[in-house]
Amino acid sequence: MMNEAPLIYTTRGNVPVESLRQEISWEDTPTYVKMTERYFDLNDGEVVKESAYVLSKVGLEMGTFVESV
Amino acid sequence: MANTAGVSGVAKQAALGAIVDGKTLKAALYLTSATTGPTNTVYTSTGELAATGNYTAGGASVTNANSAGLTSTTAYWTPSATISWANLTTSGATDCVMIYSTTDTNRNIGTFTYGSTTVTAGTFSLTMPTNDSSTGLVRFS
Repeated sequence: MMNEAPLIYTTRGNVPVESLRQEISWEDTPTYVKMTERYFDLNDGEVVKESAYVLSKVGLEMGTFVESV
Repeated sequence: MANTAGVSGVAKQAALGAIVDGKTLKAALYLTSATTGPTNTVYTSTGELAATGNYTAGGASVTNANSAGLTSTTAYWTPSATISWANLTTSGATDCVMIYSTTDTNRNIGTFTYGSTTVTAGTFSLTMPTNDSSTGLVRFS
């Protein structure tokens, strides 16, 4: 039976998850969606862990054009 | 039905395939203060994230199992897996990735932007779009 507090890796090493506040934000644009996950130390409010996940919706297109002779 | 003018789809597919098929690719990340873009002919370390915080100069490997595809007259290609960095702490905010071919003397294939992003002791991942003629990462239409 696990009775140890779950830990998470941060700039301060492995710390109990319960000592942190998690915040998730989203950015939705025509070309990508980005989810940012931040963990703040409850004591001093410093960001101790931050991850970002980008989903590209559409890449780059090179068009070819035909001109009349 | 009238005759039409245009570059053939197979020619576009051949051109794109010459750039990406079977190539060894990497993805490098750039600071928001950098001026990296399509005018760069090859990979550059100028403006790249510093080689600290588990970021390696030159960037990460790109899984490239897809060959250039063709639908109608649009050729397309997309890396076949997410590009990611684990336990990363960026040396500054980044908003651009360059995908380049080490097979072809670091030829710049394209630069892609994703908004200012900072990572601290965390994961940064770039999930690719659907690999088709409408959304593929690189398309010749």
